[in-house]
Amino acid sequence: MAEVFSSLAYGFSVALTPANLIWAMVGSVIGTLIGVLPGIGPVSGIAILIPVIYGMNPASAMIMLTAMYYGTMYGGSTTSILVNVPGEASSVVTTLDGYQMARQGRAGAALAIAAIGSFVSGTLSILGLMLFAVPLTTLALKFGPAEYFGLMLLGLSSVTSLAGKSLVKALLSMIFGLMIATIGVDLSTGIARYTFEVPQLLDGIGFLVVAIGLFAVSEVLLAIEELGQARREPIPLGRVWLSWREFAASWWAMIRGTVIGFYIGVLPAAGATIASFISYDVEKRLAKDPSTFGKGDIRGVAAPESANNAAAVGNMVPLMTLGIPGSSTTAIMLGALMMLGVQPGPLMYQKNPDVFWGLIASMYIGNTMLLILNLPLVGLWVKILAIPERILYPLILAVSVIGVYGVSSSTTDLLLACGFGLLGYYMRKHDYPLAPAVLGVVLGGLMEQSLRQALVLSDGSYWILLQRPISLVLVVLSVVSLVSPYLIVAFRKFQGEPQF
Amino acid sequence: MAERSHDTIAAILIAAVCLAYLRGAQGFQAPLVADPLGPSAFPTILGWAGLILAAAQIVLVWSGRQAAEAGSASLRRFRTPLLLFGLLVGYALVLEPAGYLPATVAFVLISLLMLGEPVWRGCLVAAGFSAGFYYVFVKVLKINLPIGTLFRGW
Repeated sequence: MAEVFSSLAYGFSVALTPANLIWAMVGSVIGTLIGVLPGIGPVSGIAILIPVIYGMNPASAMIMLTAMYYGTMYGGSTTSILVNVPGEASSVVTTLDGYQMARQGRAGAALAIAAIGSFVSGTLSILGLMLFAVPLTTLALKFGPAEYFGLMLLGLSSVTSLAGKSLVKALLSMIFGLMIATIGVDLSTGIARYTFEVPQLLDGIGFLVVAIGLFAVSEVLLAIEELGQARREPIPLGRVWLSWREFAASWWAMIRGTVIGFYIGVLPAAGATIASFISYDVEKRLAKDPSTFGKGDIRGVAAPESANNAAAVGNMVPLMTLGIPGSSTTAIMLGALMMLGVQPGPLMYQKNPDVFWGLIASMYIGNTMLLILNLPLVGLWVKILAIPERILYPLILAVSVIGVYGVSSSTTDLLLACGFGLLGYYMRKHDYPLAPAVLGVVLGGLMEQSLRQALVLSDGSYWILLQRPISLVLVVLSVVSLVSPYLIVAFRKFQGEPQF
Repeated sequence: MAERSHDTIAAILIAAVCLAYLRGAQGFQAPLVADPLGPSAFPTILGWAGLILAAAQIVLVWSGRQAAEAGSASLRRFRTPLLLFGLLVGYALVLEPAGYLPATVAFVLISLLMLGEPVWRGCLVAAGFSAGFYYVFVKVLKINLPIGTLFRGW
């Protein structure tokens, strides 16, 4: 334990440098702005800003990205409360009571409890992250290629199993991502694969090109379809504070939301959205009078807001310790880190302790910063909500194009990003989830390398994946995570419970 | 019925891509004996997995176990996104030869006009955004943006 705290002290020495403090502040503000802005979700927002961190040192880059991630969560709840439009899926539940509170003239109290809940849960769950991170990393350091392959299989299968409405379409999306990852020169043999004699494809298709195209460009194209539909005007804000009575009423909801959110966040793929729904449901079941929920009960804001922030921290556990992302946003962050030459996972703990501990320390700082910045700035966020969406869309597209060009200086990459944008537009419209595709691109190369290295050790026998105990457990867990949604449905049918 | 055919056509196209991908994988000859898997095995696994999943999609759609998609297929609805997409491709193509400033101002302005913004506001936003972004990228982040070759020497 003493080692953990001395490492954390080292992390603070990294995160508290003036430059990193500024990056954390910039990240918090930009993140909140993305969360508040209509027409762009957190994943797309973070994807288009990756070029900004290109060339930065990995610790600063990660500190900024994490602050941005937190900021988007907070920004999403602001729009949920004020205009009844969740900025992201994990804020959907917040609209139920948050918007009702705003209609009753208690918008300020709802925003304040969202900010305080996020701060409390963020701070408490970072303790959980520290406790989980060290033992998991120590275990993962013993992994060989077979275990790594199993780990990546688990990451892919768990994200795929919960994405979209159809498992087959989610799996097709994942296969598509893995196929994209095979384009370029094969590192083991030097053979060019699927490059069609285009020299620009020899290095493969960059993660940024795919992420910006699939997420950002397609999101704008889809949003333009909806343009012209009636806009909802924000509700007047009032005073941004809450009474002691309201705070006391929400305290246990925040704590329960934190515990639920963190543990759900640690499970791959079961991210912030599920955590917010479950914590809301738990509060409703525990309430003496559940009928107040949905009519402006402050616990209906405190619990899901705490849960989704805790889940965001929980999501960082598999990313930082094992190198497998549990959500679309952490998949983008994984890709960004790899672009900067850092491989998240157990080796990051050994090779880049500044990134590992600096990041953990920066979470405390980011949380504090969000609390300090966001309550006074909420009036500004409300003004930003009034910007017409049709002005934003061309700007988002221009930022996407310039971002890709800024990193690669290649027209081919720009055209590829446009192509992925059109494909993503089709995929979104027809319920092919995007997250498995992007994760496939990020993990595909490493997955193939791990498989090949494992087979070198076993003289070509695939049994190695099932003969080593950890690898066997990971492969079994991958299969279970893929079929688990079906098992749950079957179990409910068997019990005769209604389905959601 | 239309939605069923739509998902079926998509599955057939995916299967065709997987077949082409598999055919491509057969051409990768491994020069090293130390690598038992070689460069073609992983793509082969992916190609077959894709084929099986595409077939599964067709079976699920026609057995009625995969929900048919809702939503209108009105061509008017797609017109603006597709026009903007065309403009985006144009922007990608002219960015390097025309240079960042003229290409970006033109792209943002035309897009804004297309989306119904008045000319004065379009000009203001296009010029302000392009100049502001140039400052952030080039001066603050030290990331190079294309100067352009078309107007060089003017």
